[in-house]
Amino acid sequence: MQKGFYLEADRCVGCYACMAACKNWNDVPPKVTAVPGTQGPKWRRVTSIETGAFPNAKITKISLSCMHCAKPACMAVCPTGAITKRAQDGIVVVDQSKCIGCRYCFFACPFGAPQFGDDGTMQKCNYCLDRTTKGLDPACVATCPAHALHAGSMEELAKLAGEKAALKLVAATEPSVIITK
Amino acid sequence: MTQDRTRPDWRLGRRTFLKATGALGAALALQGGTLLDPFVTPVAAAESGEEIRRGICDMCCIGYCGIEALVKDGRITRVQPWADYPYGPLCSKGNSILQQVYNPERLKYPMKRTKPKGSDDAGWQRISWDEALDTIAAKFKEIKAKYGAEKVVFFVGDPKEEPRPPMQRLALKFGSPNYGTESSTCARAMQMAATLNGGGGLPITAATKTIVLWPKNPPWSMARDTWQIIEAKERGVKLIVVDPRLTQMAQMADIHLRLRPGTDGALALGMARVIINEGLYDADFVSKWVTGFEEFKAYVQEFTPEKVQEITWVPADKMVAAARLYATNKPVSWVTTASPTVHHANGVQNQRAIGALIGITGNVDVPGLKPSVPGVSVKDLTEWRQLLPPLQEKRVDLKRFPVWAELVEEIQMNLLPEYVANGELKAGLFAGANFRMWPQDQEYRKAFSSLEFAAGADFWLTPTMQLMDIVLPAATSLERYGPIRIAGRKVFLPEPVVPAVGEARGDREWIFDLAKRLGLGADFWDGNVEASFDWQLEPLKLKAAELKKQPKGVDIPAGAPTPASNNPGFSTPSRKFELTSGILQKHDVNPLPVYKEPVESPVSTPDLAKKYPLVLNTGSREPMYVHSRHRNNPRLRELEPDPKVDINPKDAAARGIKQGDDVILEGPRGSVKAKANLTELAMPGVVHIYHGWPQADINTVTGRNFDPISGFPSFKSELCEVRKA
Repeated sequence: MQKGFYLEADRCVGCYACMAACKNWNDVPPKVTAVPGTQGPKWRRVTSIETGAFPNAKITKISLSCMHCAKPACMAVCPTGAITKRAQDGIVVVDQSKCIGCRYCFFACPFGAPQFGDDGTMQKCNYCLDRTTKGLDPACVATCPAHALHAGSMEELAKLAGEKAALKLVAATEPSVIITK
Repeated sequence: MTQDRTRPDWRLGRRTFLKATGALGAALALQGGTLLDPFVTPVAAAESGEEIRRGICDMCCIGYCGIEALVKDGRITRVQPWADYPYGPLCSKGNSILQQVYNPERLKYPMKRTKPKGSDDAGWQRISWDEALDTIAAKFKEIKAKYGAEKVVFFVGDPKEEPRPPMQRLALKFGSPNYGTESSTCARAMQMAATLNGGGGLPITAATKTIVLWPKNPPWSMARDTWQIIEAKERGVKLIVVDPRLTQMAQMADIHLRLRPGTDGALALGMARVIINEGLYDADFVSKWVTGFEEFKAYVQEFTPEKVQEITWVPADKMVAAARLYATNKPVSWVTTASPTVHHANGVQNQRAIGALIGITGNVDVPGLKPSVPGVSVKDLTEWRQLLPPLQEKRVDLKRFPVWAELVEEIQMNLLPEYVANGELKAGLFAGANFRMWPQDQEYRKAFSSLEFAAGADFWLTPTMQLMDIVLPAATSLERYGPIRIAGRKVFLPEPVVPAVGEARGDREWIFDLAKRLGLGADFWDGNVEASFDWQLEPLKLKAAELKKQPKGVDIPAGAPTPASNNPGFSTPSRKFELTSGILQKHDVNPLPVYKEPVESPVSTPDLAKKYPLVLNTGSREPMYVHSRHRNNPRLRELEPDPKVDINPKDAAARGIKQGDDVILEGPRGSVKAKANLTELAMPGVVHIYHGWPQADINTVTGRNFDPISGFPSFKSELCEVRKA
């Protein structure tokens, strides 16, 4: 059963609560230096995408972490076997004691998920396994004030996404369709 | 030592922590350098040994959301939202609270100045609490004997909820009506407008059909208010957002009115004209409950859609559509907030004009929009209703802001430089003050320095605390009891989650201790804080001891009184909703909610606008900061390391400015340097800059253009130009 995240981008309000909660829960150190652009590792990132121009501009906020891919590109290129995919939930984890800091994973990942701290080894989202294995939501999900982030099995999330899409359709066009749950 | 960070038990045996760097780090952060000690919070060993304790977050101004702290060996290791507390979850700031509590820059001990004011270095010397409080008490007694008690000003800044009531009580019992707060530039003007009209915003409930956010961007100011709006929107409630910025909330709106900052009044009057002239107003409600309708109707006729478009830059058809929706899809919940519209020299009247819409459409005191659970309250610790009236004549703001002085139980602080220069205030006690909250803030810095004696309490030795004679270390919300919180029929008394760092003390505790030394022990339960909670809880028939045992809250016993339902009518002189305000009339102010252009604007000062063509909008919040707070919190600073100017890409291109360029923002009174942030968040012709950055202090640029009714400055409506540095 593959576990994962579901982001409703039209609900994401760009408040950074998820990023801060991730750093707090997982004790990921921040870095603020005099060198512009220097930042600490970020297991979750909120990015802003702007399209169009006034008065037809659109700003979209996207909160992303490791995607815990079915076919992890990072894992495929890792020369030391430090990256593995857990059989029980599909979460992609890294054993830092095996990581040699070569950063192949960083270049292979299409999403920039692998992060590197001062010790040079790779670190990234671990789906808050210390929470999720106890039935709690990951820290980012638990703190989202817009309920834009969800966690669960891909089956559950797909069902949720389908319901959301149906609700939005009903709100938008008031179709002459009867829907039951 | 490397660990598999992905194993649930990866914390086992983890050695953490980088030690505090002390004074150097403090100086850098507070002077606004970009180098911050990247300290991490000591994470204790086994998770299984972590105990969950519950408290209230004070990372924003009010201190509202429930927080669960995982505590190990007397230290907090991590926090998480307190899921079943009525307010939450935690925002970016709340999730970074550990780096406030355990920040190496925390003020840990009382200190006194050993070098004269004006010296580069105050020569701070650690002293005992006894010496600190005895010195303050002796100085205040001396000032009282020599000049009168009213020459001592008592002030509370931010965070405010816990220090405010005991501080106000102290002021009044000491004999000074001159108690003020940061609400002098925050919520009071909005509240005054509501009082003058007879009604303000109403909560979102199941009955709400239209929400008007005018103006508010909860995700960046109060994230806990975000969900109810999204939830309502998704169940089909219509959303109107009035905001010059393209926020995420604005993008969720059915109608987004992007107006030129400072023109809210004209927009509201234009909408009122549509609603009245198209016969969409609530004639029955108006005839029974509204004063001044005919005068108002006559006045709004000049605000035609074409003229309103010219003034506000909002397309006329959008304004008309919003007015029709407002008047026909009821009930309407108007969600307003503290300061955006009232940071204007005509702010109260503009806010009244927005409020007039709820009056003419009968969207005030509507069944279904009243809070579903009748409010219950504890006894007011301040007792200002009894204590203030005999002292009212000695208020320093009485003649200067007579409407404010009649309506507000604290003084308007914005003329602090004048009060001090005229010798009307000679000493002060400040909990969390910040001179940078005022326009032309160098004058306020000077005022703090010019007091004969000043003492302050804070978490940090801030630039304002550097101007004091004595500084006291305040405990954060996770290190002290209180305040009492009521939600529905449940009451909470948040516990201290961990011992305070150093010798920091809770505000109520040190203020009571000071009161004793001022000879006011009998009025302050002889310094017994718990006894004061018991006194406050009397109406609920509860004791503090019971509450302390139950951090998850206690149900208010049946039989405890609930306030009587509203008396018929409104809290105005006429008992009606007043489009013509009786109180304003009494003070020779135009009683109608008239529109005036900002003091400086492309319309009111076209010559100035040639040199400074951009509208300057300041004073709103970024999600990771609250006013001047949290720049020394590495987790938050990492999210936004530098001060920035939000500018529309079109305006930037016209000036040869690219993303991330250093730019100079210049106004008629000064300039600041910041990074250019090219974003459609800003509409063409308007720039936004956030306040509270020491190295880009926008309040050296903003002017002392005050609203004569509220005394509020014009933070949201001045002029500037931006160029490459």
